[in-house]
Parts: sequence; C-alpha cells; structure tokens
Amino acid sequence: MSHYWWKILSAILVLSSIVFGLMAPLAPGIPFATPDQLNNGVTSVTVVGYNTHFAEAEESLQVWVTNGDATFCPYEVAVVDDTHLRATFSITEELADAFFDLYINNAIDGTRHLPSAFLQNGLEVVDNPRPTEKCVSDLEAGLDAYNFPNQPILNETIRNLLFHVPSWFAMIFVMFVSLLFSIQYLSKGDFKADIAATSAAKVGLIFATIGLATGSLWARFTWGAWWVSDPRLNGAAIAFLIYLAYFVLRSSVNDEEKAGRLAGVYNIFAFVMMLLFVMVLPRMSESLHPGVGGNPAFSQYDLDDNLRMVFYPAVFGWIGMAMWMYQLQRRASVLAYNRLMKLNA
Amino acid sequence: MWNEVRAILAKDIRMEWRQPHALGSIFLYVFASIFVAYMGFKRIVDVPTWNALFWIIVLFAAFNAASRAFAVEHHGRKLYLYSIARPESVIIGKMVYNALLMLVMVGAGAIIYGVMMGTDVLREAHMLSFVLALTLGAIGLAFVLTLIAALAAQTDNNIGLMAILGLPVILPFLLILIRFSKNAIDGIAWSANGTYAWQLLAIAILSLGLSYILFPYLWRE
Repeated sequence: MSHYWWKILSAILVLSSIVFGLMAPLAPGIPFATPDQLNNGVTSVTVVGYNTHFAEAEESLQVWVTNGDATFCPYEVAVVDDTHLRATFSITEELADAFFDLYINNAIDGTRHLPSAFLQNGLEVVDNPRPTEKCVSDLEAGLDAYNFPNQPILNETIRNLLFHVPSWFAMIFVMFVSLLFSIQYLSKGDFKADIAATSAAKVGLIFATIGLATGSLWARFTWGAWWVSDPRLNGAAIAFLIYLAYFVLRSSVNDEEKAGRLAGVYNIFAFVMMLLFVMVLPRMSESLHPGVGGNPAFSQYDLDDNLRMVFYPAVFGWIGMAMWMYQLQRRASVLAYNRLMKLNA
Repeated sequence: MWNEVRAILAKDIRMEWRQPHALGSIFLYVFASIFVAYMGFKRIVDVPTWNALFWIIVLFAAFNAASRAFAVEHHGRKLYLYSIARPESVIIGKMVYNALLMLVMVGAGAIIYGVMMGTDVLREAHMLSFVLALTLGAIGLAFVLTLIAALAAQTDNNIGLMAILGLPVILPFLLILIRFSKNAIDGIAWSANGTYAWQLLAIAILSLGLSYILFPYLWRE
C-alpha cells in the first residue's frame, strides 16, 4: 500500500475528472440576443438563454442593459420559456458610449451577462450624459451549483479543458523522463536506462495522440477548422513527428545496444530543437492558442474556483496515470529483455 | 584539435577533387530541380513563392549533400579515421566541410535560380540581408543536418531515415530562414529583420555544440 498509493489516487482523480467533465452541467449563460442593435425610441429584442430558468423564476426576473454610465430597464418583459424572453426597451436619452452589455438576474441563475450585446443605433452620443434613474434593485445571488463556467465561443466545449490540457502536461512530463534516461544511458551505458527511455517515449506518444485528437476537436468547434496553421499547433505536430521518427530509428537498427545509443542521441538533439521551436516560433507570429504570444492562458481569468478544484487534481491524476503506464511498460520490456537473454544463453 | 579538424577538412576536399563526379551529381541535382521548377512555373513574380521554392530546392539538395558526408567513408577508412583523430574533430571537420559545400551550392543555386526564374522580385531587396540569409542558411542547414547524417549512416536505411529524422528537426530553422529571407527580399530594414538572423545563428551554434557533445557516443560501431 505504502508505495502505490499514488496509483490509486491518480486512478480516482482521472475517473473523477472524466465523470465531472461529462456529467457536470454548464452554468447558465446568454449566448446571444437578436437584433443586436438598440434604436432611438422603442426596440424589442429576443434574448436567448442557455441552461437558464427564465420561466421557472419569473417572479424574481430582472433584465437591464448598461454601457457603463447609463443603465436602462425594459418597460416590458415577456417570458416565452426557460430559455427565451422578449424585452422591449424605450431609450431616448443622450449617451456617452455606444456598446451595451445585457444583464439578467433571477433567483435560480443569479446574475448572467452578455458583454457588448447591443450596438446603439441612431442614439445621440455626448460627452457628459445625464445620469439615469436606478432601475435595478434587490439582486438575487442565485443557487450555487457545481458546474462549468459558461464562456462565449467555448460554450459546452469547455469540458475539453479537463482532457486536452492534462494530456499535454502528461506528455511533456514523460518525454522529459525519457530525455533524462537517454542522457543516463549515454553516460552510463546501463541497458535498463535505455529500456526506460523507450518506454517513456512510447507512453508520451499515446498522450500526444490524445492531445492532438482532443485539440483538433476543440479547434473545430471554436475556430471552425480541424487544423489551423498556428505556431503552437505546428509545434505539437513536429513534436509528434519527432517521436515517431525516434521509433522508426530504433526499429531500423537490429543491434539493441547500437539502437539505444542512436535513439538516445536523437532524443537529446531533437528535444533541444523542439524546445527552440516551442520557445522561439510563437513570438514570431500571432497565435490563436491560449497561453501563446501574449494570449492569456485559461487560468488567468477563465477558470473559476469550481473548475480549478477539478482541473488541478485532473492534471495531477493524468501525470500520475502516465507514470503508471510508463512503469508497466518498462517492467514488461525488462521482462521481455531478460527472457530474450535467457533464451540466448 | 584544430590541426585534426584542418587535416580532415583537407582530406575531404582532396577526396572530392579526385572524384569530381560525386560533387557533380549534387550540382546536377540542384540544376535539375531548378529546371523542373522552371518548366512548371516559367517565371515567378510573387515574392513568397519565389522565396519558398528556392529554399525548398536548397533543403532537398542539403539533405542529399549532408547524407553523403558519412556514407562516403567506407568501413576500413572510418576505423582509420577514428584511430588517428578524436571523434570531436571528425564531426567538426565534417560540419565545416558540409558548410563549405553548402555555401558553394547555395551560391551557385541562387545564380541559376535567378537566371531561370527571373530576378524581378529582388528589385527592392535589402541585398546585404539577402546575402546574409544565403550564408546563414547554407551554414545552418549543413550544421543541423550533419549530425542527422551521422545518425542515418549508422543504420541500414540511410536515405529514407535521413528524411524522416531530419525534417522535423530542421523545420524550426527552415521556417525562420524563409521568414528572414522573405523580409530581406521585401526590403525590410535590418533593425526590424535582424532578430531572425540572430536566431538562425543561435540555432547553428547550438547544433554545433550539441554535435560536439553527442557525436562521441555515436561513432563507435
């Protein structure tokens, strides 16, 4: 028990991240409102919610729009169902800014908003607007549910965060292990280090495949294509190619000892070149990928505390799982090697 | 060590001189690729296409040239070489030799390419940067690919492995090189384009250092 507690822990964490990733609902949100313009005078708009409870919490429903300075409430709200409502605004005041954020508050969902939901159309823009009356009061906090944050564009695909990101972390971790064992093999010549390096690279390749597959799926639903030419994506593809080449190199040499040396040399050389690619290239050009070239990574403001509580354990669990797989693979390879030696003897 | 490097360099150049057909075959390869490209494109006035096509032709020529560095040494001579010189000297000597070969090849290739594809695109070029791109490109491609050639030469499947092992490793260098060279052709000033040159130089020096460290583990049979 004492030295395999981390395997049990990782298995539980990975399992719980899968269960949470697939079962937890997305937080209520407002994907869009049509039309996206507010006219001078009376405008009627349809607001579409997602996982919201407009009808169920109709008594406590409050709708308003704000541009930072001025706040307006509709003079009529008609709830169609839980996810649709019609709001009619009457705006004749002079305004300072042209973009309105839409807010909805009710007892179940709490406060939800859609940034820059409306562009003003035909309203008069001035530097010093007259203050508007306060039309919103007694906001409800909403029920605290265990769910995914509802982000624009990401929508339901935010679940992928628990699979895509930890799989790359796990891959980088085992590839680093592989690099260390390659260095050890070259300096000491211990065949076990070579077996360990190969096993780690094998496991890393599995996680790289998972990372590429989930990333491609994510790209399709957020950027609109299965693959986009992006420094981070190209770097990932090259890392994948390098480790495929690593195995081609191994298998094309029959002498085990020599194959180990060649593969070790290639592992070190390629790892450094790949590091260069990952570090230098994203600064050369813009990237869509979060965490590259000035793009904020998710953790900065998209991860809320609910998700954080699952995401970090998931990363730990996936890395632990990768280490476990690596251990099994290494043991199997050592057994196979010993058997081969016995047969030869 | 420098004496050893110089001796290996001299030996390689003399060997090349005595078997001119080997050297000729590489130049013929470059010429034939450019000619094929010429038949396909006639003239290219688009800068990115002109630039990228040139470097792709050079890339494959570089693979060809680099893969010969160790393949030409047959078994007995290899043993002799390693018994009289340190492995570090051998790899440095081969790298310098490959760099010289690539410099000549890129220079000649650029002239032939310019004659066939037209030099209209170079009208507003920052010529100094472009020449630097040719130089750094030749040296860097040679440096990075020499160690890969040493790896591939140890296996039975030399030519195939060379491409499989080399392409992912050379890609970062190639992408920066194409960007630097395109900016030079577009006439972008050194102040805005210089960082790419430093990056290319850094990769070349890094691969020199890595080869120096790693080759001693590689040469033993």
